[in-house]
Amino acid sequence: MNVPRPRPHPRRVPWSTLTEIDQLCLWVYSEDAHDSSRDRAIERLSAWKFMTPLPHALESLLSILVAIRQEDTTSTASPSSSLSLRQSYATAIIRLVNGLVDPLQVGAYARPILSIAAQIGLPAWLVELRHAATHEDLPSLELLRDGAKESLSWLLQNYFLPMLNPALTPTLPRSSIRPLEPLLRQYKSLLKSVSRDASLRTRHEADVSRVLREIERWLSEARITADARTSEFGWQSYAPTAGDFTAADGDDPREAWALDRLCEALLLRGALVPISRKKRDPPKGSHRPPSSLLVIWTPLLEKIAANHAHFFATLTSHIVAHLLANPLEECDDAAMAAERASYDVCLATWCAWLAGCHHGDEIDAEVAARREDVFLQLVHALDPHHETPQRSQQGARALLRALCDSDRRLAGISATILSMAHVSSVNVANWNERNLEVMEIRLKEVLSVSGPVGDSQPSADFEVEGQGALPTGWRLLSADGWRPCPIGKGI
Amino acid sequence: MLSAIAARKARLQISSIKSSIKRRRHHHHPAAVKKARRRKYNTPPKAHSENKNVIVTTSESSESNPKQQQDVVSLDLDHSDSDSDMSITLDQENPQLIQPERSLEPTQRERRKVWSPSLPVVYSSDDASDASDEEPVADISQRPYNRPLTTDGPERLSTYHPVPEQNMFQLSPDEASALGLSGPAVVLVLSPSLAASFVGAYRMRVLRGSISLLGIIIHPSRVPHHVFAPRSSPIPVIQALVVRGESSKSLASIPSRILSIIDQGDVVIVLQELRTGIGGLGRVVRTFEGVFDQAGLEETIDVPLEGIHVVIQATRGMCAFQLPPSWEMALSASPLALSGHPVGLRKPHVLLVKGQKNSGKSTFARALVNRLSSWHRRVAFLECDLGQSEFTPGGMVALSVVENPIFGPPFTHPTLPHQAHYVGAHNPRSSPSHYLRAIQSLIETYRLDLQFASAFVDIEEDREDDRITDVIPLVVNTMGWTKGLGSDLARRIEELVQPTDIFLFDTSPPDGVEPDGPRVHTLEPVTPSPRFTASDHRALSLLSYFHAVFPNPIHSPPLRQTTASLWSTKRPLCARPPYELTTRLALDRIVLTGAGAEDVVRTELWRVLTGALVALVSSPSPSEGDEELFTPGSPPPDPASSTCLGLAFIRGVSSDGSKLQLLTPVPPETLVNARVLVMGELELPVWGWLDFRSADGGAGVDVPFLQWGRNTGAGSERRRVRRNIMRRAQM
Repeated sequence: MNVPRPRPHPRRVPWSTLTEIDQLCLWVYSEDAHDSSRDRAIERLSAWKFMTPLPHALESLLSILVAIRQEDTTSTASPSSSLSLRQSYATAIIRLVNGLVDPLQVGAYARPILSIAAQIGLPAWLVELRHAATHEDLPSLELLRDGAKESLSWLLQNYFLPMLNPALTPTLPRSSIRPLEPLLRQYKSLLKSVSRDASLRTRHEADVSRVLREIERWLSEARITADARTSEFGWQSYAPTAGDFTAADGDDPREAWALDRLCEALLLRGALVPISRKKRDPPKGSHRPPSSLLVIWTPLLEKIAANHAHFFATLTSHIVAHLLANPLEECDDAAMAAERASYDVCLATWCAWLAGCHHGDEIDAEVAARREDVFLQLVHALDPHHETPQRSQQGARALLRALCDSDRRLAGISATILSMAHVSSVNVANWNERNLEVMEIRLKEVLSVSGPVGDSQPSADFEVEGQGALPTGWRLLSADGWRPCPIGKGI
Repeated sequence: MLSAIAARKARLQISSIKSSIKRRRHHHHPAAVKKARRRKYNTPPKAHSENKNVIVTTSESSESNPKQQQDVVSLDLDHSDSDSDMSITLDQENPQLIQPERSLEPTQRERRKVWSPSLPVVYSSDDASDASDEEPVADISQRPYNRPLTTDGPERLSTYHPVPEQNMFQLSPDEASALGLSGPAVVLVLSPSLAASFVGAYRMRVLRGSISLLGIIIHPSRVPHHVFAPRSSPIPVIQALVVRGESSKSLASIPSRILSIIDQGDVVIVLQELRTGIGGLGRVVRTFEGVFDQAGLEETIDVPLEGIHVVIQATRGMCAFQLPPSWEMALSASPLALSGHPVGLRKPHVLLVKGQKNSGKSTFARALVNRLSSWHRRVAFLECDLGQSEFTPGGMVALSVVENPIFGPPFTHPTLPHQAHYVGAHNPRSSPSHYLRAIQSLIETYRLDLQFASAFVDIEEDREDDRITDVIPLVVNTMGWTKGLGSDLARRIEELVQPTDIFLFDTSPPDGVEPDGPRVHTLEPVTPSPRFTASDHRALSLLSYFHAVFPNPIHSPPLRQTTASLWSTKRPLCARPPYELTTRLALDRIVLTGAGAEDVVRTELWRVLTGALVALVSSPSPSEGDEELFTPGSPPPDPASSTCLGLAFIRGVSSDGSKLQLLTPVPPETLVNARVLVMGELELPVWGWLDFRSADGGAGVDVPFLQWGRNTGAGSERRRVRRNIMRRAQM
């Protein structure tokens, strides 16, 4: 599936192992840290900074340490101007705060720095200090010195400790998002009244767009929350700007997280699928959602999709995942089961709508790709030999039918697969060499249907030829004498 | 009001979906419909006060050519809730906004451009703080004529459909050898004005008639052209030209069975496989995986050669190479055509290409080199763009000699420079004066060594070539950083280079041309395919360089172009046997250059060098008494007396620094004088550190300097720079 989840990818860091971070932390923070150990820390950080861009916390640490050391040395040498010292401190604090706050300015408009600082637990007075140092009189040396101390300990608590002991508390306050359901309910009732009485349209238009905006705002809040919840992502390091790995722009985990929450809310009963079972049934002979539902929800869905490229893909995968989920508690209660089935079928019509089934073959590449993804997942899961109670997959089957009805190519593939499955189910006991041939033939059949799969370039390869005369002091290590090892290992 | 527009847009989309479906029935070119793009720029205008709610729609041409239309929708927003009124005014006053021809559904990327206050804005820079890379989104709108290279590209990349034994013939070994070819060869017969496009890599010769390819015209000759056509770049289109008069010359020894069936005006070309191993780079840099392979499930009849695929129709992310009219005009302008001076009096042309980043400078410069090489045996190329170099890896200014036209994006022709100087960054921001000195030194080298070189160096083969050999023209590509310090540097470069012609990507006419000054040709900018970013391309170029196999230039005559034609990607860099240097014997000096380099102390040197990308520089030996290997804060070697031979990657350092293990593609024979290492701000992309043979890149193994998984702790990200953030007051 060509989707938003990035593969976990490493990033370049200046330390070879975490022990080096530990060492650095000791140089700066340990009980018996002294001037010369802090000098070592400054040297190490300067070296790292030259090797590769530093994480912001370390860069800030470096400037604060340098300012502190500057004070130590000047106070003994010459008590001349305090201005340059104050400037060093001020710059260090300004850059620390800016660097921590800026990544959270994700909207088009600036959010107040104080509110972001509160979100990440940065003391408000550091923000005030930053403001004063930037726009007002340069604060006094004493205040700046305190600010630097506060910053140092903030970095220890919020950067070094979590980094060295990932198991220890995430010190970030875990913010939560407000529920989306009330907004969706509000939207639904507005649209409902508009759809029933066209004369209300103009009157409610402003309200509708206000709610739409509210939902959009909710999404951006969710993104911010996602940021604060980094601990939930295994792939957070894959920042959208991470230099060499700039991914397609949808691959932003925060965006994905926010969309996931939105889709969850949409899938609750009472949203895309109405609570009343009567209102769920698709129109006869079609696979679309009932028009009463379409009227209500399409404006919202299209609006979100217009702003969030991955929305439709995310929603589709949520629905498919739901349809294919095989709940452990098979409901004994017939009424419950019927309810579930009807819910699933209604969801399936939405998925069919997302896959452009009502447009038949005339869809663009994006929708086609989505449709193919859905189809693949369904076919994979609805294996004819799969032992699952029919009812639990009724929705998925309905969806598969919808796909096949609207797309002849998929119908063809589906028929091929099904027929092949029926031909014979090989009995394990009767396994013989013939079976392999049969499998081979089937493989060919399947491949001929799906067309050539992207084949790789003929793997012609060329090795560096034997060496000529090497300059003095140079030696090419031979393939036998040298054992490959990861780059950066000491020799 | 904003959401009203968005809602309106949503409605438009629905209606345009319907209309586009109707249209498709007529066209059968879904790709064409998709390509009719609409570009939006979410740019708040600078002057706000009076002009609330401005929607500007400029169209270059009438409805008849909707694809060329560009509109700049500038929304100056206030937060009053006059939404509904607004959308009505839009309807009435700007009917052009509804363009059924426009995209039925914006592609993912375009969709993100739809402006919304809550929509996260993409960070405009990577942390390398690359001056040439980071420009606020706003800048785009200053180029109203800016249009994608793809816009009016042909929706069909090939009008030629291969049919065996009718217009495509597989040559027997005898027939091939009669043409001087070995290995499998396929002859294609193209009727006049047919176009053929291929994805992959191939060798091509014209046997009869003439074709145009990437802006140059190729006549029958015995010289095979190597064409690299990955899907990541505009696809070169082989266009059969209509024969006029005597140009329909043809080579003998075309097999008679083919001659017998071709028509008078038919063009005949022969294709052969070009096995270079370059496709393996897709395994190294996964973002470019499969760019040399066939697009997918598209049904085509393929030529019976490996690694070459006919492309009939553009698929997603693919576009045809198109030469905009103003480029064609500039390319065929007088200085490039043969001038009437008698031999010996010709003054070499110095052609400078300049413009903003992403305007198509490199592409044009390449076309210029190709055009020049139709008449000149050799063309010199001076690269001043540190970010995206044509012939060398980034980070250096380089002077290269080109002997044959180049058909392919930069990563397909890494070349050893004639002379180069390492600056060590993707832009000259940290060391502007060193950058200028480096360019000055290269210009002097050109004037002294190259421009009339052939008059002094007698090369046997030159006599057989009917191209001009006695002068070597120079093409100068400049950087895209054109503002602030960048514009100052650009002016200084211009003074150093003293161009005879300037090719300017700009929409405004130059202000006043000096009578004696250089001729100025104005070009229309194009935007590159958005699929890959500048940093993707940089990563690919650098890793292409490290995996390339260069021929040994020692055996070739002077003034030779030494371009890699093979790539070795069987093993990742981490599994290659490295060179081991005994520091004391092999090196005179180690220099760190760039911001913050002065702060690196001696004891940290070996740590810094581990995993470093360094330049191998040849520089005069230090004088007596100055034998310190490393002096913190020492300046880089003086460009006047040094040259950069290539780049190397230090994969390991012994703890006392006595031994270094490094990898370099530069032929070791040329490294005799490489006794200085210069480390700048550039790094090897993480792709180069990974072992691509394992699915997870070796995540299981403990790799130093790489961190898998997430960051814990606040501030563990690199700093990001955003320049497009707005204040509420701006609304």
